Amino acid sequence: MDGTPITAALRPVDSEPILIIEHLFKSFGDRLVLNDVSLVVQPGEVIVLIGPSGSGKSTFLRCINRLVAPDKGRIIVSGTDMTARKTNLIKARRRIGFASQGFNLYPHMTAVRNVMEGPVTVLGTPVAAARLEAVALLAQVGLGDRCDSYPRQLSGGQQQRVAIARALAMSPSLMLFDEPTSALDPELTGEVLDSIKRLADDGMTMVVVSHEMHFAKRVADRVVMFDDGVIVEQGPPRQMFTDAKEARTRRFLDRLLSWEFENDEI
Amino acid sequence: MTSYQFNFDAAIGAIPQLLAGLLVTIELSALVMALSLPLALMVALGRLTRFRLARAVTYGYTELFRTTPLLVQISWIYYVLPIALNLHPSAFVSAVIALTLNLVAYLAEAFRGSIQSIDPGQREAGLATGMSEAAVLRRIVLPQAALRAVPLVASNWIGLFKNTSLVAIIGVHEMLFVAQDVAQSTYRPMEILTVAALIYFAVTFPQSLVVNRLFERFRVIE
Amino acid sequence: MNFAPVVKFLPFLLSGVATTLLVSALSFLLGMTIGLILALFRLSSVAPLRWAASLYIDFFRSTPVLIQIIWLFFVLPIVTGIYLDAIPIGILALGLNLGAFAAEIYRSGILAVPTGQREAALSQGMTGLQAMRRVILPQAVRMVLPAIASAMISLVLDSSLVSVINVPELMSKANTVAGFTIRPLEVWSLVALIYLVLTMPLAVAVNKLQKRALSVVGGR
Repeated sequence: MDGTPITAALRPVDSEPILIIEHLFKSFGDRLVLNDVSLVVQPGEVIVLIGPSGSGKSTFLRCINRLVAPDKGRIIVSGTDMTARKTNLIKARRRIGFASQGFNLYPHMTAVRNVMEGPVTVLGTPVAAARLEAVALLAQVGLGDRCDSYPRQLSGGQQQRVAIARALAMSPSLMLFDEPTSALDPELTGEVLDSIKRLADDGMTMVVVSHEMHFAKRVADRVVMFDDGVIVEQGPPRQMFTDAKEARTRRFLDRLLSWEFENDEI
Repeated sequence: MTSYQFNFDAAIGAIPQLLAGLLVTIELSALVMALSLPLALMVALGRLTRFRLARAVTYGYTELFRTTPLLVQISWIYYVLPIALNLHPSAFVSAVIALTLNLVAYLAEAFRGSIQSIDPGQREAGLATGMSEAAVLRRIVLPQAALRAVPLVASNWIGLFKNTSLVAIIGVHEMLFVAQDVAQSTYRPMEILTVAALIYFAVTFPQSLVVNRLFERFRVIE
Repeated sequence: MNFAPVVKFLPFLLSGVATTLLVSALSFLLGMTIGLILALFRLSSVAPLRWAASLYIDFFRSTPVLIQIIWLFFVLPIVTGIYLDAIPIGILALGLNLGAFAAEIYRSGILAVPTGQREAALSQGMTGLQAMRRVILPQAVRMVLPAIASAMISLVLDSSLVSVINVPELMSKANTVAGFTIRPLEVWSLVALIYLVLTMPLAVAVNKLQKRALSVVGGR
């Protein structure tokens, strides 16, 4: 199947970027985790970040919504400077959805309460309206019948889909995914990736850290290769997977693809 | 504010007496701990044995001593020995008995928890290599449980150290008794109690730091 | 043993039980409130708050409750000029002491909540305080419920100590009866039994909670 997204070609090029990252630096102790990283993302674009573990992808993602404070550099999301001192971070974070590998659903709340929690406490949405909205969002990720289940009663894949619905409840203009399927059993990754793909098809701007190459091929507009705190190279998935310029990228992809291939054999 | 004139002269003059009281506190704690450790191990094993009677007796004992106030236990022992058994020990000996009975109950529970926290796979592995139950307990389970019990013993030690203050009510001359005694004769209760509290703090706080370190050192990562 | 002379005083002893329960309940509420505030201070990013909370906790945990009770009894009127009844002083002393222990209980619970929970709450736009109140504390409290119940048992037992400042609770009524009847052994046996009846339900609850604690917050 040809995975090139048609929408990529139709997208206007001269629109205002939704995410601008300039010269980002971050170190933990004496370990330099981000070393001068810059990236620009257009509205509707889907970026997939790949790279070996410890290469700085997760830190990079957490800098975008300022769960981690960068040492140096600028981050602008929808025109809001996330690194400026006067910016109200609490407010700015509302429009940036975040789903991590651990799901992090609130275990003491049902699925629907998890989804309602943000709108009710942060936006002050009336409970009844928030509930309606939450039920609709859960239905959208295929969990309309599990509204009253607690997280521990759901499979990992279902939990991650609730986490996605929870992020969507805040009507984000940008979604961040940190290895959304890495904690899942292989047979459950499909349902989560389908939900994310549907979001992409609806035009959501996304930055996804993922090692699912099939997913990257089908959904990504651009694949960005991280290693050692820098962006090694980036490009459309087809070019990156078949014709990477950098040796580091080719080595990484070879290892990943050969492993996936062997697994397919079994 | 009242126009109370602080005067620490009496309190400072009483420091040698307070330190003598502290010595009794330390002796009492050390003696009680030494007696309690082996007894507590026996009670803990009694809680875990398959003999129903031993289980019932040790269960009754630990629950009784953990659900009644130490102060009541101290008073009870103080009177039960002369009245029911016609024994007339000194207040110090009464205190040792009461504190030991109390500590054994708490330590036994700590030991039981440590033993039960050892992965059952360890026991299975021992039995599978042909060891007897007793050998498995002695050579495999207890050595691991002992490590986990170290910080619990240490924090019980701190509790004991502070609890010795309660035997002041039966007239053992430990630090609190001395403090109250001097407070009454000098009419300077506030200053003397403050100094006594500071001495307790100076002695106990470094020990709690050690306990915290032990908890970090012996933390089980599973 | 002859319980007959003692049984006559049972209503008198039971009126002491009422005071024991009152003192325990009020000092529990006071202590758990102080403990929560101290725990939040200890985890605060403001250094002086952390230091103050640590000092408080270390001091109250490193000195015997008995000396704290007697100290407060003598010091409160001298320093403040306020002459409180023995009962409020007893409640205050036990509450201040429990606060130090409760703070450590809360803190261990808060630290045991995975950091991802805070991340999730913050990334939804919650403030640090909202995340604490709506997401972290409810989970933390559930995890430390057994420890809180144990603290409650200790508190009922420790409430016997306020008899030294003549709070008319069970222990001090027992002292009176023991002196009056000259039957100390019977009195103390009976009193031990009463305390056992008061704390046993809590002890059973602790065991149940400990078994359930793992399954309540199961994460995934």
